[in-house]
Amino acid sequence: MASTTVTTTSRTPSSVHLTLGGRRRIGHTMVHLALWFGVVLMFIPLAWTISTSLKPVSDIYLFPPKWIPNPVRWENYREAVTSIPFMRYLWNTVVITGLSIVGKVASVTLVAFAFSRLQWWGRNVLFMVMIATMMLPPHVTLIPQFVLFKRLGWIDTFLPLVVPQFFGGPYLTFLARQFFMTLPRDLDDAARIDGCSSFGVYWRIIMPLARPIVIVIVILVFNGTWNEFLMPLIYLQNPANFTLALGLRMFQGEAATSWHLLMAASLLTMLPVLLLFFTAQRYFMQGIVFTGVKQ
Amino acid sequence: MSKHLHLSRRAFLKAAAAAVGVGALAACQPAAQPAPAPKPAAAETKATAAPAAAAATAAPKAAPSSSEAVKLNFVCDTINTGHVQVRDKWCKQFNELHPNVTVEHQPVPQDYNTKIQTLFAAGSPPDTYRYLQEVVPIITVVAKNMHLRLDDWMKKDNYDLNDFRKDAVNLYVWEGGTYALPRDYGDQNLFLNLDLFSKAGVEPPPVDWTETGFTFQKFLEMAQKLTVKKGDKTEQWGFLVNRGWRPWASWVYNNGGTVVKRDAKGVATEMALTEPVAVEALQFLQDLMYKHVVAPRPDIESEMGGFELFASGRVGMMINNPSAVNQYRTIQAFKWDIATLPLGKASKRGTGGGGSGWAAGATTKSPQWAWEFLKYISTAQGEQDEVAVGATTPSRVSVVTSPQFLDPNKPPAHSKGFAQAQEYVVRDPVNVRWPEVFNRIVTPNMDQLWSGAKTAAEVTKTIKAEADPLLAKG
Repeated sequence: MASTTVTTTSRTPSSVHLTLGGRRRIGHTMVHLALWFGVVLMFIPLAWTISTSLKPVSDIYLFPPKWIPNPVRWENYREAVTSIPFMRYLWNTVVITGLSIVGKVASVTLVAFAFSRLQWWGRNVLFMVMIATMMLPPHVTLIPQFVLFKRLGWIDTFLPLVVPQFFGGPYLTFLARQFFMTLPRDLDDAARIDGCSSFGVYWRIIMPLARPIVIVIVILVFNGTWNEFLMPLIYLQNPANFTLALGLRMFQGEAATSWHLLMAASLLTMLPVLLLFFTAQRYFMQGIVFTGVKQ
Repeated sequence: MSKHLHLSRRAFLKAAAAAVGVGALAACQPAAQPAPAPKPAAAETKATAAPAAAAATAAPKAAPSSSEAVKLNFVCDTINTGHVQVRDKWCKQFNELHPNVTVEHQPVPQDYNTKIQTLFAAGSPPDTYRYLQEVVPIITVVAKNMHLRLDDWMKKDNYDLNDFRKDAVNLYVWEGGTYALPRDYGDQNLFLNLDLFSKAGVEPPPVDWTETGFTFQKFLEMAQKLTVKKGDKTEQWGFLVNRGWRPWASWVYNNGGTVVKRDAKGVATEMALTEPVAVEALQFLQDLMYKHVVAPRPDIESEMGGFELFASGRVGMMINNPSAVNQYRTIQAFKWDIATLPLGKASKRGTGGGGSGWAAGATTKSPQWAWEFLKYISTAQGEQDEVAVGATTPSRVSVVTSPQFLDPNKPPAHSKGFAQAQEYVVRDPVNVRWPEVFNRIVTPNMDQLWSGAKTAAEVTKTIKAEADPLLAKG
């Protein structure tokens, strides 16, 4: 320690500056190396997926694995989308996901608005009750829900997958409520002085400012619904109603898995999720600034 | 501000009341529709089960009406895309034969047991489905009145069961009643990488199940010769321990042990894994991984995948069942074959196995057509259809010995072993509590054996202590 001090003090200011710059460069290089290592590590499964999706079936189990497929079998993609009704499953998934997003955004923001911006008797107790429902794992309510939807005649329709989305959900409501609570109350007061109703405050004041949290909800609901397996498995029976998540499992058999087709179909299924992520990432970054709420 | 808030609260309450009213109306509306019967699930099961049971005795006297429009569902796990196509074809052909009957095939891509259990628990069992007796024991099926009883229907049609293996039929018979028709009857076999055997200069093990020279010790020596190490790293393993229930139970049977003791009716009464021969067999399996190091530990196997390790040419032998044969046929990098299992202290070999059946739900609205459909898919042609797309071990003797199943142009060369092994199948335990015992006690404790955390003696002692009280209740 003492020797370090002596060394530092004996240097000229410029050499100290250079050393710090050098250290910073070394630090940056190390960080970048670590990040690149992480990137490569994370990329390996995706690379394996891409590689397998282009291999003939006989090359899948080769050891050591062949990373570059030879010959490249683009037909795998054609086979993957023709051996199952891929486009039908895609359409079903788009419909269910789209309606779920609309339902969730509408209901969650409304409920969160009531919990955060309106004063009413029992508000906090009800909020705690709602939060407490998060403790119930979905498997516990699976059979009662199934019985309910069966009596409503909704089995083998999209309704059991879509309608519950219009009734909020504790986690996203919690997120939205926390976000709404950060918005200054003066905005509501100003609106009310100008004659705005409660719904007007929600629609004209809060929602325009809520873009970041709405985007978060959209992304989470999209991701969750697009990849959801259990609920479609339970409620959908006719293969014509299947979603992509169910369709992909058609390649995974009891005793045999068509890895090349599964990987090709998985990549195609993954594309919209990736696209959404890269598109929405920008909004995420903007959203963090929470524009419009600075006091 | 408070004025505004006061007003908005009222408005909010009004809106909430309106919403509740609309919700209540919406909830009531479908109940008024005739289609779904608003009965409690249990009552519904009882109410519909009674006519079904009555139909099972009374209806067979009358021939199925050919004019009445009937819709049935047929729920199956997918196995592979070929099987889905075969089942679609069955439904289509059945509809062509009986234009008034529509059978809707509902393939379940995965988590088949969850789906089936949900359907039964919710009081809407499938009309016809693939019944897995190892998941829901036949004793439970009878106790809970889950299936249509087939005896009267068989009697009426003079249905011939003789071509089915008798033990396959017996899987679905309980207290004199028959509750499903056999679909398949599987067993366990040793799958061999012949290229690794010839490279190591080792003679492959025998195929014949009556042979007595292929002992545990000989098997160990073989596995040791097939294991290749480079420094501390094992590059090639002699054997891969299949941690599935039937594969590990096969070692117990082959050492003269059994998993459970059974009463005269065949009901499992207590665990028998603490018997010295059973402990010895299980310890042998653990030693293959940790003492002799001729088999990959579970972490390595899980990372690579069991079949994938074999298919990549890094494992000399593994145990699997014939329904996996289609997957093995994708291997082109080396030659492979099958053999019998090693024989320990038992006088006769045994293999874990059994099969699945075709069954009809007790509450099906049309028992006669459900029965007709079960008959239709259980023909020799039906089994041949499934053989053609792989992943089945037929339950009909005529099919399991047919050239289509024993196709000499396709590996394995000794596929007769699949058929011979059927003679050595030891039935899974039958007890209402067995699924619970298996999932909650046996599997987690066996994981301790596979991870090397506990010895076979410790593991089996714990299993017995925890499982016996439950089995006694069953």
